[in-house]
Amino acid sequence: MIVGCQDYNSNSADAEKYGPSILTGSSKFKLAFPILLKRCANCHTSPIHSPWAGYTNEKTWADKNLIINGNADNSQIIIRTINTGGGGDMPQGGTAIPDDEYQTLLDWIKSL
Amino acid sequence: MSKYFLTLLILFIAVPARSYVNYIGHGYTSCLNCHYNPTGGGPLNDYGRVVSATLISSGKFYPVDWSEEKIADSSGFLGRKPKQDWFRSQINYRGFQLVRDPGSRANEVKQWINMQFDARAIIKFGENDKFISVINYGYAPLPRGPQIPGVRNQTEWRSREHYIGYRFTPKFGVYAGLMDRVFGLKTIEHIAYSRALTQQAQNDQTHGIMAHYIADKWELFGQGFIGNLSQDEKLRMKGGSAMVERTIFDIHRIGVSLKESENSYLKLLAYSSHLKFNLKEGSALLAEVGQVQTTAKSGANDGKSRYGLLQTYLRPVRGLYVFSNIEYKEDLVLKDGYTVRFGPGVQYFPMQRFEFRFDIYNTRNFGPKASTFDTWMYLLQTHIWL
Repeated sequence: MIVGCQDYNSNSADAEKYGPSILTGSSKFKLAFPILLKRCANCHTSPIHSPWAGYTNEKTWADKNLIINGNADNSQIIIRTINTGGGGDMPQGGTAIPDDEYQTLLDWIKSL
Repeated sequence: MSKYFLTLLILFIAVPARSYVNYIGHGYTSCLNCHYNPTGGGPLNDYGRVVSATLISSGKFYPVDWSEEKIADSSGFLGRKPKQDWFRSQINYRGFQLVRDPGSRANEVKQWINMQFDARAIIKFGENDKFISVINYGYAPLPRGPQIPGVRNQTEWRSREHYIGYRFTPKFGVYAGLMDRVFGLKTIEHIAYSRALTQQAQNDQTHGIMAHYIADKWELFGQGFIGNLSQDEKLRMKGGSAMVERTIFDIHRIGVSLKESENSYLKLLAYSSHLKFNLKEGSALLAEVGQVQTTAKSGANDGKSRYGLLQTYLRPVRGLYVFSNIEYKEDLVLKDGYTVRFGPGVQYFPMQRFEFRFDIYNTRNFGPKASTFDTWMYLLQTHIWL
């Protein structure tokens, strides 16, 4: 597969990262998205991964099999995320994400 | 020995210059002698091509009866000595095989990445190339995954550089157009924290005006920029940056940099200091420490990060560089620990126009709660320039 090394440049996703919300989805998704940006999108960007900062539509997360609507326990986002309860391997080489953020992700997926 | 080669030899002995930052180990403290752009990077000038052929590359793969003079004469585009002074062209390719988590059945990723494929044209006039015009047009494969909403003009073909420069005197020049931003060590590893956090990565060129002054001990750069005009107006980072370097003990350099920029969403303030130590015989030590502050105009997602970089390059024989890389970064807002990335590498120039490089990276997070598995990856890089 031929892929590039960087997005157009370092500021390509500034609107998604720092701008007013252009998110499409539930109110719980709008709470969860900044956590995904902060904890995941720095690594989940090209060239290794798809750029998660661009998944501003709630539906995309399910289409990419990253979540299963209403089924948090079997969603990749929850299974892979390191939490203080144990388990998970993401962020790779990182530490457990705070409990409140983990709970926000759970609440979002369960609400779908 | 031709006058041409003698002149180059005298210049080489008498004048400090530089190409890759670590070439301070060959006595090159400034980029200007080998590159058209005084900050380094981009096309090599005639002198830089001769240096890459005769000093940097191994001489073992040339015919045994070729003298250094003949090797120098073959350093031009497609191996020919230029017949005129006003036009130069170059083609440059870099690609690498990336293997992440090698040996891990579950997570191993193997990927060939085309980092750079550029065609370059340089028009130049006047004594000592007083006026230059540089165009660097390249192929950049789209990043994997969907295009980011709101980002227009994500294209596979783009101008990486196009600028004009005029040196009013040998010491002072002004450059205008699309070019790299001035800040810190321009290490070849654009994924280095010192380049990623400061937004000095591979595609972060900007339209702007840069002034450059060089004296015996000092080198100063100042730049005002308005962002990349091919990008959406709201995303263009506008601002200014400056870098000052001073030669110490005749062969080493220290420097400081400052950059402030903003677009419609973000303000960025970065400052750093760096040093370049000449360990002689082609060996060098490079270091940079810096801090980056990002402020989101929407009031959310502010950040402050600190980074460090330490690289050593050792040159056991001509053409071969053995290096080590240690990097550090810490997010001062999240306060979730710090990350260290380190690893050795080997760089080999069998002959001019060819570079092969092997890098190993280990990334490890040290957190206040629990540390988890570290990650490994290696790169096999090929660089060809014609």
